This record gives sequence, structure tokens and C-alpha cells, in this order.
Amino acid sequence: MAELFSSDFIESLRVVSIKAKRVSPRGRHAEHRSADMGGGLEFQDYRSYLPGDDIRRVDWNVYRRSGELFLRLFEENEDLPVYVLLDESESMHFERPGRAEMVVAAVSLRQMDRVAIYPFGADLAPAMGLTGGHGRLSGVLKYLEDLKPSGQTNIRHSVGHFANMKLRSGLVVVISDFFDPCGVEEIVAVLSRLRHKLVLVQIARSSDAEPGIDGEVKLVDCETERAIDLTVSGALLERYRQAYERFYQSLHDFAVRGGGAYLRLDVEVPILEQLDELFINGTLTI
Amino acid sequence: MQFWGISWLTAAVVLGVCGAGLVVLHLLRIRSQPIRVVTCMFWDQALSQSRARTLPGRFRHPLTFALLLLICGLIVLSLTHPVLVGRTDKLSHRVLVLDAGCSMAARDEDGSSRLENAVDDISKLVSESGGGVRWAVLVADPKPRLVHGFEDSRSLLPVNLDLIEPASVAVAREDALHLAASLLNGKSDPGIVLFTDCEMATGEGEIPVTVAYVGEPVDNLACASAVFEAYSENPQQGQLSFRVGNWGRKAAQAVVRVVDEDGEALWQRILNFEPGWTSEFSIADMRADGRRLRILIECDDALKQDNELVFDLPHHVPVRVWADGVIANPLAIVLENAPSVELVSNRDQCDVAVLVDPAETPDGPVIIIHTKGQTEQAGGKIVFSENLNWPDVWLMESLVCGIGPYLDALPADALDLFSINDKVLAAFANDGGNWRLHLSLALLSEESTFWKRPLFAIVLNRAIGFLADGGQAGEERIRNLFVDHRDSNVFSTDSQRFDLSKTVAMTTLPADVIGAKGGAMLDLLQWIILLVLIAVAIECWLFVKGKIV
Repeated sequence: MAELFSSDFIESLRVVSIKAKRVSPRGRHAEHRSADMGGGLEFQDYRSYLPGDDIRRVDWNVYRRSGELFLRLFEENEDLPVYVLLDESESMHFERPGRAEMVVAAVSLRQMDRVAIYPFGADLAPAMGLTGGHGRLSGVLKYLEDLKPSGQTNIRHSVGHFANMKLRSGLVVVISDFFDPCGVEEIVAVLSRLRHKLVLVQIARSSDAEPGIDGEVKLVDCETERAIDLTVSGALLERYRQAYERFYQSLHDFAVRGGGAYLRLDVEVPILEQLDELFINGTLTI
Repeated sequence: MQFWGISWLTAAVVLGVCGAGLVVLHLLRIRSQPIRVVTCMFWDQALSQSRARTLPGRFRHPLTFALLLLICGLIVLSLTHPVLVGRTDKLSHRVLVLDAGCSMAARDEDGSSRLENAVDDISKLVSESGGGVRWAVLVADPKPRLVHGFEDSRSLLPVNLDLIEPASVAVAREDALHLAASLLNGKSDPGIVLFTDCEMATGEGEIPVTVAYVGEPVDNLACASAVFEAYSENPQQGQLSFRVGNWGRKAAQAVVRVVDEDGEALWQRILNFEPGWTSEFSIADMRADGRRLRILIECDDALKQDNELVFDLPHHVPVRVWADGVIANPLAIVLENAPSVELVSNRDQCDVAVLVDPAETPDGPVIIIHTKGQTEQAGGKIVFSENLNWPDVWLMESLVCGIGPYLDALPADALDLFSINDKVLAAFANDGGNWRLHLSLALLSEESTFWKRPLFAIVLNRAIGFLADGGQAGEERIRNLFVDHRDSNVFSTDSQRFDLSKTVAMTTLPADVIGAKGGAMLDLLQWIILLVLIAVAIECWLFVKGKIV
């Protein structure tokens, strides 16, 4: 953990940010760069005056030169509540070389956003409340480090529980492998209930997509300990790949369709290399 | 459940071997290397798409192993020829009556006797019957008896049938049928099958009787049986009886001879034998000297192997008796004239010793004459003990004894023979395992009328025979020492006729006789074979479909 979240590593995350297009008008000031125009300091654009606009934003110099009313638009730096739903089931701890989900949390913290972390497994665990600022990063990381595996994945129940909480609209980052036996349809259905911007971060391994097994095997589920005997053939492997891709495609389509984002992080590949690919110019706009 | 045709020991060995085989199969079964994975969700989906997660696929390896176990188990079970008993809605009960008359000893063209054929037919009938039939087997001989009950294990049937031998005398078939009917009283779907070679009227009783005629008709004369019966008073002699029958279709003339081992003819007749009849012949006063006799029938018949019967006479030797020199004269006269007694002068060579008032009683069989003791009430009518079963011993009222002692010093468990006024005059007593005959001088005195009767010689002879045999069977034999055997039909010389016209093969036995209507069902063996085939077919189908390896 110390190596992963060294100062150099955290510094390298400064160029990475998440930009939300719309945030709550009641949010406090933060470094989160919103795509909405508002009362920030950084000029963004002009637009024609419309009745009801704040007359204080009229650029009188332009009016003096052109005789028309234009409003000056500034980028609004708005506080974006970030809710990290972190899957802490057994499968997330299974032969995992690093904790990619912590990186995502660190990205949120670097933005000085208010971050609440909701670990879940079979159900939501006690959450770490909203916090923000660089100074709290070590505390959050310590919190993440101390999390213990908590049984089987039950996204339907856990996210459903979260959806019932009356929280201010913000950004929900679901970090999970989404390996819930209930199936992707159920997962999508429960995620649809969330009234937040949604980022699905899927923790995966390349070996899951291409399992290097053949012949007679007994597969043991690391969460349920359920064993199935298989004779793995080429045809069966092909059907496995199809099921695997169908699963991810369903998650991706759902996230994109709802205006959110879908990230797949391979735990077997260095995390920063993946972030460079996923965050265009260091920014993930949603 | 009964296991037909296989002993429990064999079954245990087979089960043990097969059990070891199953253990080996279990050890060699497919064992996949366990691999822990993040999730089996995608494998489940992949398998469900290929329909491999159907019920058989869900239990793929367990099913393979279970099928293997099932096949092995069923094969082992089938080896035991199991038969379900009492599992059908309607049970049939059949009593097989086996005629064990002497004519059943006749051998047909294949060399086997009709009794053997009938036994084979019964065994075949029972083994091929379904579980809806219960069987009992009765033997119709002079005293019909049950040799195999409804509840007896079928595995015991061959053993019980092997014990049956043809009788040498007339058999009571009607009594056997009555006994069979009584056995079937209250039973469901009753039926009687009589295996015989004699003409039988089945009648129209409540229980149907089917007659199965055994053997094929053949022109054959045969000596069916021979028996030697020693005389009771002189076992060294007896009567040889043998039975000859004509199992052919026509009358036949034959020379019947009995020759000894030197070829000397002891008995010879030229006789006409009517078809379907047996006759018994007797030769009296044959010496029981252990000779080997041959009973020969010289005739022109189809089967020659049963025209000669070899018979070994028993070898009975006289009882050697040593007597004290001062024994009473009447006793000495009887001993000298007894045909089965040989008086010897050397006491060491005797079988029975006769002693007078011995101070110490030696080991071995001894007759003791008592001359001393209380004599006040001597004289009077002699009676014999009520404990004795001596129906042919008749004591006349005038039979009295003389002056002599009572036997009042005998052991409490002594078995009284004769007494007077409740005072014992003769008794058997067991002295440490040695039986002794105690006689009072009152029976042998001049005034006694007892010793003057032949009864005295008979009693003495039989008592000596009993003592010489070492007192075998003890009190039971003493009580029955004089049972009249003449009522027995052993020496019957009657002839009997048996039917030849209805002799048919067993294969014509109608189906309902074997219980086809009585809830007959597929033999469990057939079911097991069917199940094994189904299991193998399932296994092959799964293998072809690639669901098992």
C-alpha cells in the first residue's frame, strides 16, 4: 500500500480528474471542474441575454460596443459529492496484486471533493462519511486498507439499500467486479434506480476473459465455495468468452446510455498505464 | 427377497469381490484438479447454453459414478437370482406333491429315474416361476410329509429334494393330496400339482389338482428296491425283500434270480409281469453275514442297467456271553439255546457277563442275578411295568414267581421290568453309563412259571442284544424293546399298478399350474437385466453427447 500510494504516485494522479457536466447548485466550492457555466472565476464563453438572467453577469463593455446584451459565462467550480460504492466481497480480494479501487478513491480525493465510501459485500457496510481535501487522503487510504472481505457479492441488495438513502445528488462510483450470481440484468436494474451520475469501475483480470484451463477441472467459486466439474473444450471456452463479453457489454451500454462512464481496470496491468488510456488528457468527462 | 441357487457363503464371496472392485473403481474414478476462480457465473451460463446443465449434466460426474455403481450392483444382485416374494397383489400358492412310490425308481431311456426327472422338473418349475407364486413340496410316500414349506427359502429346495428317495412300498397318494389341501386352506389362488407316474383321479375338489405324469413310456423291467430286515430275536438272520416292476406297455416274462457273490443262485423264478405292476418277493432266513447279493432280471427290455440290483447283507455276529459257573440252570439253558448268543469261557473275550451276587460290579454290560435279600413276600402274580411299551408281551395271570429276593437296593432311576406286589423282580439300571440287567432269583426258582415260558427267552435275548450294543438309546430303547413291528408295512408283499397310458412329458404342464394367473410377474432377474441395459444405454448416450468422459 505504501508503495502504491507513494508521494510520486499520488503526484502522478494530479493530472487525472473527473469532470461532471451537471452538479447540484447547493454544492460548495471545490476544485471539481464542472462543465456547467456558473459563477466561477475562469471565463468560459458569451451568450445572448435572456429574460430572467442575472443582470450582474451582463458584459456592459460588449453592450457599449455592439448595443446588444450578452452574458459572460464562467466555469463554475462546484463541490461534487462523490459516493464510492466499493465492493469488498471475497472475489475482490482474490489473488489481487493491487487495489485499483483505492486509486479511484484517491482521484476523487485529489479533487478535494467530498467523498463518502460505502463498502459492500452481501450488504452495505458502515460507510466512511463525506470528507475532502488532500489532507484526508492518508486517512481514507488507511480506512480502505483496513477493510476486510465481507462474504459474497450482492449488488442488488447493497445498491438497492444505497438507492433508498436520501443523499444529495452527486457522482456515484461503483467499484466492483460485478460478479453477482443474480446476473447482469438484475445489476442493471438496480443501478437504474440511482439518481446520480454513475461511473462503473469494473475490476477485472485478463485471465478472467481468457481462462487458461483445459480438460477435466473442478472449479471452485471463491465466494460460495460451490464446485462444478467440467470438461473444458474449445466450444465451451468459446461460449464462456461470449458470456463474459456479453456481461461487460451490458454494463458498458448501461453506463453510457445513462450518461455515465464505464471503466474496466485490469488488476494485472499497471494502473497508471490504464488511466492514461481511459482519461483523455487526464480528464474523464461524464 | 430370496437368493435362488446361490449359497450365502458364495453370495458373500461374490459380494466381497465385487465390493473390492467397486472400491477400486471408486479410487480410479475421475478426480478433477480443483481450481479456485473468482466466479463460476460465466461457466454456468456457458454450460446452460450448451444444455449441459440439464439434470444429467448437473450431476455429471456423480451420475457417472452412480451409474457405474448401479450397474455393478445390479450385476452382483442378478448373480444371486433374487426373487421377490409377496410383492404382488395376488399371490398364488402351489403345493407340489411328489410321488415317491417304488415305480418312480424306474429308469427311463435316458438313464435317469422318474423320481430324478420329477425332482428336476420341480426344481425347474420353481426356479422359472415368478415372485407371485409360493411353493411347498410334499412327498407322497407311506407317510406323506412336508419337505419344503411356503415360508422356506427357495435355496433350500434342492437340498430338501435330494433327501427324497423312492419308497419300497405302497405310498399314500390320497393322504398326500389331503395334506396338501389342508396346507392350502385359506391360501389365495391355491393349486396342487401331483408328480407321479400312476393313474390318478383328480376329482373335483375345491382345490384344483393337476397331475403331471413324469417319464416317457418305455418297455422296461426293473428291480426297484431291496431291503433286509433282521429278526428281532436273532439278528443274525432275517428276510430279504425286493420289488420288481414292469414299466413297459406289454406283459413280459423274466427270470428273476438272487445270486451271491460266488454266483450261486439263492433264489430263482420264472415270472410273468403285467405292464404297470410291481410285485414284491421275499426270501426268509437269510443269514446276515455281510455277503454281497445281486438281484438279476433276465428279460428282453429296453433298459438293461436297472436289471441288476446289488445288495449288501448286513453282518451280524452273535453276542459273546460269559456266565458265572453257578448261575441258575434255567438261565444257562436259555443262553445255550439262544441263536444270537455264543457262550465263551474266557471272560476277557465276552460282550456280556452274567454274574451272581457280585461284590463289585465290573465295567461293561453285565447281567446280575440276585440270590440274597428280603424274601418274605415272595411268590405271587407277576406284572410288568406300566412304563414299558411292550404290547406283544402278554403275561398270563397264572404267571407266578418263586421264592427269592426283591430288588430293593437298585438306584432310584432304575427302569423296572417285572414286579410282584410292587416289589421289583427285574430291572435295568444305569450304573455310571453302564447298563445292567438285574434279575431276582425268584424268577428263576423252581416254583417260578416265568422261565418256563418262551417269553423269558425273548426278554433275555433282547436284553442281551441291548446290553451288547452298549445300551444305545437307553431308556427309550428299553421301553420300546418289544414294540410289535409286524404291523409295519415293511414286509408288505402287495402289488400295485401304475398307469402308463397317461405318461407324458412335463413340458405339457399348463401355464396356470405354475401360477401364471396368480399375479405372476417378471422375474426380478429380468427386471435387473432390463435396468442394467437401460443404465448402460444412458451411460452410452451421455458419452456420445459428450456430457461424460
